Amino acid sequence: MHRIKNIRLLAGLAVLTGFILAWLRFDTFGTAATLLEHTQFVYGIFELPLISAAVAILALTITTLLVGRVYCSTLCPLGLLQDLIARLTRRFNKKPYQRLAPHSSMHALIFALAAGSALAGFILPLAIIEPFSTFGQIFAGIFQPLTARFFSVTAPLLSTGINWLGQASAKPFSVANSLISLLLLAGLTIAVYRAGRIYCNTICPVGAILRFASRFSLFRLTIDQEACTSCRLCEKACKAGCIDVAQKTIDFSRCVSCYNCAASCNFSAIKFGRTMPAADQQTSIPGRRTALAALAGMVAGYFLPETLLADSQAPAQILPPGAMTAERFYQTCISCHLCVTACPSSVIQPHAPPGSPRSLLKPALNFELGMCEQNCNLCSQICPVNAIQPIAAEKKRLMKIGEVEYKKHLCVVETDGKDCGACAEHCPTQAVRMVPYKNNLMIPQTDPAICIGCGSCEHICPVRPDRAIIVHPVPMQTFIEMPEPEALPDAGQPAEFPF
Amino acid sequence: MDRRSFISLVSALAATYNFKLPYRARAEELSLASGTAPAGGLPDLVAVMGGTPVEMLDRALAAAGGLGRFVKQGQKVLVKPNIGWDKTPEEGANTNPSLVKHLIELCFKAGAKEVNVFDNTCNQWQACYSNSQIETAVKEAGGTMLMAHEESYYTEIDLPRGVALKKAKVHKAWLESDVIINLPVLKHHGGARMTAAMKNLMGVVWDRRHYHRTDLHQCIADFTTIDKKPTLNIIDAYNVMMRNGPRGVSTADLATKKMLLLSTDMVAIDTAASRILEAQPDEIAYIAMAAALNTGVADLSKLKIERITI
Repeated sequence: MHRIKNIRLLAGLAVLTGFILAWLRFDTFGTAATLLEHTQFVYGIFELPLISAAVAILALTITTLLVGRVYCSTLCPLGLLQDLIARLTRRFNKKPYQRLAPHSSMHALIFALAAGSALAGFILPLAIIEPFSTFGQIFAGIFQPLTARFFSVTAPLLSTGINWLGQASAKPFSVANSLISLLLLAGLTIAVYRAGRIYCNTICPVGAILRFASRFSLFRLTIDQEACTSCRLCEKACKAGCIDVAQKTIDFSRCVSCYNCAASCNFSAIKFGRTMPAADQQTSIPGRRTALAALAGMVAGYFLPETLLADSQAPAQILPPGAMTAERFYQTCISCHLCVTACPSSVIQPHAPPGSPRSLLKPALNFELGMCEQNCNLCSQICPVNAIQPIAAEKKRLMKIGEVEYKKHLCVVETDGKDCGACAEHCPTQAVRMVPYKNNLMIPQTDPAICIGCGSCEHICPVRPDRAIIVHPVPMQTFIEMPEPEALPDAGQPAEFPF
Repeated sequence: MDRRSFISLVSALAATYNFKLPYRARAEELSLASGTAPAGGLPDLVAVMGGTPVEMLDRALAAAGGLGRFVKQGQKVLVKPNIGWDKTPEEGANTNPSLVKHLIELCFKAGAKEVNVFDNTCNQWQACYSNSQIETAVKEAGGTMLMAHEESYYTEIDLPRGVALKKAKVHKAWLESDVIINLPVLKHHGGARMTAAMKNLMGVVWDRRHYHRTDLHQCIADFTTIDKKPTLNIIDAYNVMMRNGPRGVSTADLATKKMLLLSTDMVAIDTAASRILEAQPDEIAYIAMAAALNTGVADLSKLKIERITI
């Protein structure tokens, strides 16, 4: 059994390393992120019409039906993060793990509430408890900005040449942005410190689904009644708290397949094999009560937010290209913040200014650090739930995500009587162009019809505190049509030098 | 560790740390144009037309006395092309990569110890470096691409002779190089009217918003008063963006002028470039401002110009 545990450890370590590297340095390990994303349960559910999603769901379900919740200890980033936290903190806790109450009705209720609410179009509860999102928020809010700062400080000390260290783009780090991430991390750490994987068996929605499936697992861990000496070593090793030594039973539906129990047993009393669960073991999931809780939760989840949020309007934000409309985006985005992590120019920022519970935790664009690069469609490619729809690079170039507003009374040309033109210079479509003005000056002129709202003008405008040119959100993302360019009057090589 | 060994360790570490003082060049080592050019023979400005960019560069350098006149054995060279935009070479928004590559190879042939290339880009820097194909060109030629996207790569210098720009944060590679070759592409420019040699140097400065906020033309001109000037300016005017610059909307903005200019004088070369752009030099305010600061000659009739048609 030691061998199975070691394989689990190695696999988990490899996957966690991949997750951490990809989420800290997306610019270098972005391909790992794409790969890992496709193994996630949430990806399988939300992208379901896609074949890759169907394959993911099928593979995960079959695996669970065969051998139990190995997903929780090898593929789930939050599960692995909890194991890491346990390694780091549990040594300070004198109390060993102990049997936990199954909380099956509560788990079903929480799952049903979140799922019902998500079905009704209010996805925030699910976004808060979903493990992939929680992991993403913790990394996008705390660790990635810190890492980026570390690299941008250390790299210049080493060399000005392009080196691996120096390529991290700056990510904004502010207490406001990171507060929720810090709360999530703190909550998770406390939970792990006190009761191991209690989150996985009380709150986690993926856990709830896998828990249901693993009741029917073909191969499972059981305690050999003869060999067991009731020494309780396994119970002390079980972070899921699902071993009952008094009864010599393992509640396999809550087991996260870490195999620590088997490895801890001195008498090889814990076996992995094809054993049918004894009838009394099923009692840990009192079917009727759980079903009732699930049903009540689903109904409440479906109708409650709708009535509570009836008059709250989602604030208008500039959304990532592919979000289409605010309503659609806010209903589908699970706040995993992978787009925040991936955005090479750091314009996708983790939290929109809170206006309504609908937009809470949802990313939005801010042009302080950069512009939405015309040739980039990374966020739309990487979004695991299609909240940002995939847009081909060629189409993305003409995708309108906002609209320009020029404030002449603030502009340098008007106030100082000096040439500037930074906005027009950066505008990829010449929706802002310079036209002749008094005193041989040139002044910006806007053409909203060909504005894609990329924020280049707002980003570069030098006027402070209020910029002279800004981008407004649009109610719906559309595609602009560029006019056919006129040919130059004389585009060839001159006959002689013009000087 | 006791106090004695701690102190000796700290002082040993301090001694090994290389304290670099801000660059302060002596006047005589800077006036390269007047200092190295033998009197008589060589032209002040070379203009070539009709060949491929690489051919024209070779002809221009030959006419100017060869690259060996500017790059000496064991020197550290900086080549500063325009890599401002996430655009392909065909779109004409950045310097032609084949030109960059050829120039770096020539620098090494002339004995350069190292050749560095960078730009403080407008679009996301990695996208610019790679899509402009300049990064590949530099690597192939054996040069080094430097990063320029962090403020810490820049050092503040004084520009006592500047009118509006009194201080600027300049990339360290500029201050640490022995030879600087300014290699812009000629383009129309919405704000500055034209971008060529002088405007290209905004890409070695950290805060470009300061230029725009203060007085764009005057700041561009003021930067030419920097102690350490480009040793040589070469303007790529093969595909010239005649409108919608400096980023360009489509290839319909380009005219195939098939030209290349070379000079040690930034003001002179920009004056000539403005004619290629079919603009009047006085339309481009920074040219006259730089001439007024005495950093170059704007009157082409006073210069020896060699015109070569291939």
